[in-house]
Amino acid sequence: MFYHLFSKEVRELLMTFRFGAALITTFVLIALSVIVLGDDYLRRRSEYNRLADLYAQEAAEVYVPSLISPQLHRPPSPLSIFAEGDTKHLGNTVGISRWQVPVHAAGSLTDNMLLKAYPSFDLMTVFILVVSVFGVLFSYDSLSGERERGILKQIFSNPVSRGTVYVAKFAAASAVLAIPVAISFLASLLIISFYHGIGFTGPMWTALALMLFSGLVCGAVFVALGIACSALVRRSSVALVLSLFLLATLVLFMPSAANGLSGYFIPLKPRSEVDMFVEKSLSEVREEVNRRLAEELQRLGIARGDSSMIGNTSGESLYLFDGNAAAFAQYVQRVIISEPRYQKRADDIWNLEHSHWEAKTRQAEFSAVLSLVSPAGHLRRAFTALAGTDFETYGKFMEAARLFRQQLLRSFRARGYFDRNAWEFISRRKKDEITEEKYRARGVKYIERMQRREPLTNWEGNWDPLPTSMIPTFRFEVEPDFETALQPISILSLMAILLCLCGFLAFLRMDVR
Amino acid sequence: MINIARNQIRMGLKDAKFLFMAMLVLIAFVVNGFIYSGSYHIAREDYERSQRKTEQDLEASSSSLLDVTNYMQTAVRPPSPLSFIADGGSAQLPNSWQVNAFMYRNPENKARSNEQLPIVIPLDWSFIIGTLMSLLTILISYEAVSGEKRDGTLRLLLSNPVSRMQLFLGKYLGLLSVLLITLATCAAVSITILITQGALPLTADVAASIGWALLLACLCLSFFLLLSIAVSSLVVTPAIGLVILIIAWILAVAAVPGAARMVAEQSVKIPAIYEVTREIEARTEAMQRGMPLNSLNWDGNPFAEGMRNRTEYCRRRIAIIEEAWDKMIYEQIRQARLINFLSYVSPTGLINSALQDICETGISGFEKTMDLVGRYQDQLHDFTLAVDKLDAESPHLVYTWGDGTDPGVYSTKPVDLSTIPRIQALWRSSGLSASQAVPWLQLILLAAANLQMAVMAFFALLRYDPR
Repeated sequence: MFYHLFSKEVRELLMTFRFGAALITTFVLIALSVIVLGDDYLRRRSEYNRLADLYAQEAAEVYVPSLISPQLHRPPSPLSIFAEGDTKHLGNTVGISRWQVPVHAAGSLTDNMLLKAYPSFDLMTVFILVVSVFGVLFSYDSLSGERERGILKQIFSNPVSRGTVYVAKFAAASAVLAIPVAISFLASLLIISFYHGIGFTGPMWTALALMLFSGLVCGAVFVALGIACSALVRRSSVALVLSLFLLATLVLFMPSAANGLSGYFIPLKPRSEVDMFVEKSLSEVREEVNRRLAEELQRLGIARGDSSMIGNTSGESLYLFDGNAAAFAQYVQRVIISEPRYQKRADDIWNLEHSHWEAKTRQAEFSAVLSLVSPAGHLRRAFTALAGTDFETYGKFMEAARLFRQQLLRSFRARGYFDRNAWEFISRRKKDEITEEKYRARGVKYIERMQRREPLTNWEGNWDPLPTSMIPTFRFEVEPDFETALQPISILSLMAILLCLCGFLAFLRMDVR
Repeated sequence: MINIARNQIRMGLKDAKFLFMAMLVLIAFVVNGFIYSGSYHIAREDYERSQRKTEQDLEASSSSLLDVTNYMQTAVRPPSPLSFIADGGSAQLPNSWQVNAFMYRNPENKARSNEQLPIVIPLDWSFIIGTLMSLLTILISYEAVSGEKRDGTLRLLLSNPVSRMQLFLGKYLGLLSVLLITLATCAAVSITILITQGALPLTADVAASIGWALLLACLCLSFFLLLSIAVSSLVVTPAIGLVILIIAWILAVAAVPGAARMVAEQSVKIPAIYEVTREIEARTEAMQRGMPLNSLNWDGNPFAEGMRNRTEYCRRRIAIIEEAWDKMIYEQIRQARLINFLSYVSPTGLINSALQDICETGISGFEKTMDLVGRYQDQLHDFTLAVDKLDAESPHLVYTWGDGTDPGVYSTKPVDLSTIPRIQALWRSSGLSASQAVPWLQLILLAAANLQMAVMAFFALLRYDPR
């Protein structure tokens, strides 16, 4: 009996205008978005590869440790074609430096900061908006409509339980809704594989399967919502309006209101707190370094000369401008005194920034709680976590960058660059080679070279670049985050089951006449 | 006709489906009032704090003209009290510029925004009207004609001496009044909340902007209403009409703005940041080739030979930097404007960008602020030249790298604090909060769309078979 009911429902739904509309709308919108976003991904990917090559090449030419300033890049994820998420407009590049702990990445591969104000349009958006609307449209009249036409009475004249009828209707509507969803999803996969030529790895296939699954579950939630409304009210037009009202509330109103209200109830501390600290601590540290340097130079008996350096050249020539060994010695002292202090300042700033970051996390969590009943929010979280475009992935990247910097500093410290071997940090010559005469001679050469307008990098001889082992390797791959995705997917499934149960209870006491 | 309209209003207001949706719209307007009064106060606080800091720093540096005009001020854009009408992504857009007499740096976002929140459409009037109220419009009017046929009342109605024109106008005006009553009530609630929370100064400009916004909203809702009547008079059963309308609504609300963004992103290519820095380097190198080399050295003596060349060098280099970044930003603005323009296809997109133009938020507000900051920098530069000219001891080498590394290149005499140009004067005179410009283009477009849809709806009704 279940099979009969199910196949009857499916056949009826397949013949409706709604089904055709759903099929065409979903297919066209998804194909369009996938074609455009696939191109966009390829562009970002090539940009990323170019940047990574560029900086790898620059890093290979560094021959003085003080000039090591690696650039780390956040790779785009191929799954971002399906869910652009929040991270497209966040930065992708982190410059690692000794005096700054990375808080936010700079630059983004799309590079239009103004587009943050425009919501994106990807497969996820289509699932949230279009699939939810059709889920409701497929089911709003399944019970009330049949009652109006008197079919329900006829069905119950057969030996069939209400449970069977209800489940058959729910399953049929969900299955029919799954057709456009699955077809357009498969079509988008075909477009990506054959038109764009993008391949996926093993975990990505799992993520894709889970995306499809969560899309189907989300559709089922709205089908269940529609059937529940249909069982609750007597007329199908009222059922439709009621379910569209619930849909507008859950999908459109709640996420927007949750964002706004979280800002109203949990306001953030002003940014100027950080700016002020950055400014104040800089002048403090600068003063302290100068004072300590004067004391130290006096103690060591080094004459305090003008240590003005020349910009835009390599580390070796920093002190050549003065052309004397005393200036070099002074510079070494400056390194010994300033490095630990500026590094501590960097940590202090990061601690302050981190408290802001955590406050923002609390605000975002509050917003998530406010929109807990919205299936749209859960689908969004599942998709972005699977695609690696959620904020957590960005946070992981920043954390990896921070750890990388610590590792780099540790290796510098182990080599004594900030104390006993500070001279090595700014020069690759042997310590006893650094005499005033030699540098005077090199200074002359330097000026000649400048006058001939030749490039100044590595100008004195062709020194070998630093061994690559000096710089720790950085690896960061965007991977699907199954653990984070599991929670929203299970909440969505639970929602579908709960709504189904509610609808069933309403159906049990429904008067079929 | 009047009777039909009156009947329509009476039925509309009692209708359960109207009450559901109207309740949602009302709640949305109330939440809107609270959200934007809160965010306005926060933004205002930040703006005033930055202003106080600038005043303090200017006072501290007023002992020397060199220090005053080298000082990098942080110019924070004053918050628009009208962002509750059209937010325009104000939380995401840059709102803070670093500027002194010689250059301004790329704008940053120093608002208390949270990048960890998912990017969703902000709950402003343009969203509530364009998305929620347009759905309300469709829900109350989709069975205006076909529903009466289903119930059999249409034949009854037409048996009276009413022309189809009267029937059409009666339906249209009746339903429109229901919508306008809802809109007026809800907007009044939202405005009341904002005023009582002290987040809306009621000046003539603000009132005029709100008036224009409401007019645009009426036209937008009227368009959806006419569309709904047209579809309702084309189909036999109301349910099919509703399905068509809902699809049209999704296209208008989500697909058109989304597609507009995709088209704009594909057609306008923005140079990447590293490309801009490369360009700056290349052009600087080319410029250096044409200049005597020794002029670039600086031995601390501003009266030395060749210092004019150095001034010229710095001036040109700053000009190169500024030009390259400006080009990038204006290209970005062009891209964003293209999105706005392409979404004119949908009435929702149209009123969204029209409301942003009226309220000077979003891209229009950003572009205007960019221009103002540029103008302020010119003012400061002219001021520096004028004051420096009065100082006989100055080397008159008015340039800087922007960080004041070269001391004593122009006057270091104290400056009268009150004569320094302030950016607040520009904010005030430009009326950044509310635009005086009327969005004629968008009004005309919407009115034309309304007219066309009205003709279509009327002809559809004329040849409708009431049996």
